[in-house]
Amino acid sequence: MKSLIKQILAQSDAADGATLALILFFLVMIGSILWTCRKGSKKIYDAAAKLPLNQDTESGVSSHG
Amino acid sequence: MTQKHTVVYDDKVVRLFLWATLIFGIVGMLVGVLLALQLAWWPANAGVSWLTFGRLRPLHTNAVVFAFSANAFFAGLYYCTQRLLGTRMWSDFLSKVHFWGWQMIIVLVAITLPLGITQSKEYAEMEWWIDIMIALVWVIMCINFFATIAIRKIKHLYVALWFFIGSVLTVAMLHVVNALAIPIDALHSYPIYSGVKDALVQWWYGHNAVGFLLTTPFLGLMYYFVPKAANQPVYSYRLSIIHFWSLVFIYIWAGPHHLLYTALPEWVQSLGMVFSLMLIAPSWGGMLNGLLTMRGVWSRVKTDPILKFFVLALTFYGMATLEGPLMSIKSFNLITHYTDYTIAHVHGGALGWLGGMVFGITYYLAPKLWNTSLYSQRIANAHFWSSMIGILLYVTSMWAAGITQALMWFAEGDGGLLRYPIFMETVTALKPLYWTRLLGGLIYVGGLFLCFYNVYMTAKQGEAQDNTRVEIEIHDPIEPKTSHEALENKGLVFSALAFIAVLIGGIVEFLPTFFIDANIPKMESVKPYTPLELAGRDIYVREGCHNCHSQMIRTYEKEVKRYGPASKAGEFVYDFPFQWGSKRTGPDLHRLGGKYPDLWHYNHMIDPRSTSPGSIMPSYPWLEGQKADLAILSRKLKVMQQLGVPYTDQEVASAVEDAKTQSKQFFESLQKDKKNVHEDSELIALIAYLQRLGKDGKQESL
Repeated sequence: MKSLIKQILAQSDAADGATLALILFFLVMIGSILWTCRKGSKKIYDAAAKLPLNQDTESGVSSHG
Repeated sequence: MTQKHTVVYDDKVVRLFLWATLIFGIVGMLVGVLLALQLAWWPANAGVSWLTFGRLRPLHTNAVVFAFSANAFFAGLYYCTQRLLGTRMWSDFLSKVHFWGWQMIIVLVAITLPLGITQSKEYAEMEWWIDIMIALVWVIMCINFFATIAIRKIKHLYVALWFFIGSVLTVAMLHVVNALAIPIDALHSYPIYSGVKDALVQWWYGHNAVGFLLTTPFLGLMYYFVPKAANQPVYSYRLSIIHFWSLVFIYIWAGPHHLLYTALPEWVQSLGMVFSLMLIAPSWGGMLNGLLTMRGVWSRVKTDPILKFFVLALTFYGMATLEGPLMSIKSFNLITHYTDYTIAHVHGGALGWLGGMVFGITYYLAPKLWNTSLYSQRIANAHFWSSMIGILLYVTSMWAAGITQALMWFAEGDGGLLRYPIFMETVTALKPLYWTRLLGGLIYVGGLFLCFYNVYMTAKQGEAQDNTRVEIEIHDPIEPKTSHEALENKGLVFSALAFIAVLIGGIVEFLPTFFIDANIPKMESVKPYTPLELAGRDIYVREGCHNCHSQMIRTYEKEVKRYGPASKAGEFVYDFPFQWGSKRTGPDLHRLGGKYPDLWHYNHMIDPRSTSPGSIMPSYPWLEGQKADLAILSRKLKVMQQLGVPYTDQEVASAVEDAKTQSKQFFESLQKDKKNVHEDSELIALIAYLQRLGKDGKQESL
């Protein structure tokens, strides 16, 4: 297995892999930005953002919405 | 549909971790103050071996990372997790095992590191048996944490929990991969990697330990505590999602920026640099998200110490995450690497970002954990200002020291000769700045004492809340419409994906370096160490010499002028562990072998100032009196053999004799100069190692 990996890697250009990784990760970043801005997400995110505030322990009673 | 639940939170474990944070914070930072004093005034080590800089510096860094910061993270983790999931921790017993197990590890580290029991890899110096304990306790914490997620009452996993999940999984992976070693005896071991590979794994670990133990966990805490303190939701939940995914994808790649201009393959260096620059975007997104969460409540920042500390933390987070990427640009890295500039950078992060978060959270939690109000707002505000002034003095003095040092190293005079060829000139020039740094550190630690007093008095006036009972209303979560929304509710699948994200970076960087021979070209002239040199090397490791001396001449003309031919990857293949270091308080030692006679080394180790006037290095007179452990050398060579070092069976069998024969030569050489050192002395073994340094590959490297 080790020799097989070694053979495959020896025949590939590591720098190309690095460029590929860079492009791939750049796309992931752009993709995640577009994803979070999708239609209809506002309602879900607004509810999620309130989660910490609804766990109010000071009064002894808390609620979650 | 709405359901009502009564939940009883375990807040005792939060309180215990909070105390541990403050106590170990004081201890760890006081050690830092002592180290700062030693650099300004070397006799501050009191002539005691376990108080020397090389032994204590790892104690300081590990105490701040694993005792102060990690304990603070755990306090916050237990507090937030229970509240965000609407349930008590899955097992109180495991919470207790986690707390006491972690404190026991800290105590063991505090004992072993000053004794020189070390693997020498930065922030991972703990020996193999402590590494196993760390892994066990970490797994126990993970079981409890993930089981709590499994039994949660609130379905949606709030973004803070994502950061916690990403952090605990990544740290587990980093720790296990970097700590792999073969034991030599009950206390010591050799890592399975050598030279370039060891350096790559170490800095993949080192960089990401900072990322996933000191950054992402506290970002998770930031996303909980800043909205709580400001009493309004996070500015943009969307941005927090982008912040999370881009950080876990990008952070893991940036490790090689610690090894620019070294013998590491060029493409790995470039990859590390580019990904570091990309990090500016998510980091600043996160900083702005935190600061904007305080929109509308800025008037409270003036009076509320909690908000003050959070603003301090986020400001320094923004500064450190801009500075870090800039430092990873190769030309600027020449100035910042190996100099005090890096010290300024890490302290901006540790004292500003981490300290700010920890103290803000402390002042938020203390009144709640003891069901009272904070003892004194005035003392908390005084603490804030002492932190602020302390940091500014510390960071600005070290920036100045770093730039001064680098400019002096590289300054050229007439005819292209180095203007300051004597390294000592570049050390003594920094002394006033070292005193300023000490003052800054003292002021900062003074503030920590104020914090401790304030929390202690708060505890005294209140009543400890072991079990906080609350009634919560749980509404059905909004139905997930898409796959990602469903994913956000599935703890395990989410965790697996986050883990894969961090895994990719490591694999792409490691595999080619480990398997493509062209990345570490073999050098015929480089031979394994002799048994005596190996014994000397282990003493070098034990004394922590790499904390002040590098063994890596960078591929830069002015480095070559000062130290000799640039270091090549093939020269380090037998270095288990690598000793490249990360800071040059003293000069680089890679081409030290043969540069001076044995007598020079003898005098230098007994009293560094006799050979190098003005030196701030500790004296090591005890090395002369202590006998080197030669009996274990066969075992050491045997382990080296297992690691792939080409020692013959004959060499393994005769290791002790060979060491004695070689030490006799050094003994005779020193005797000629009227120095009567015992043949088995540690000093002789160390001199043997120092005289070998960088000799083998020197001709081939020209």
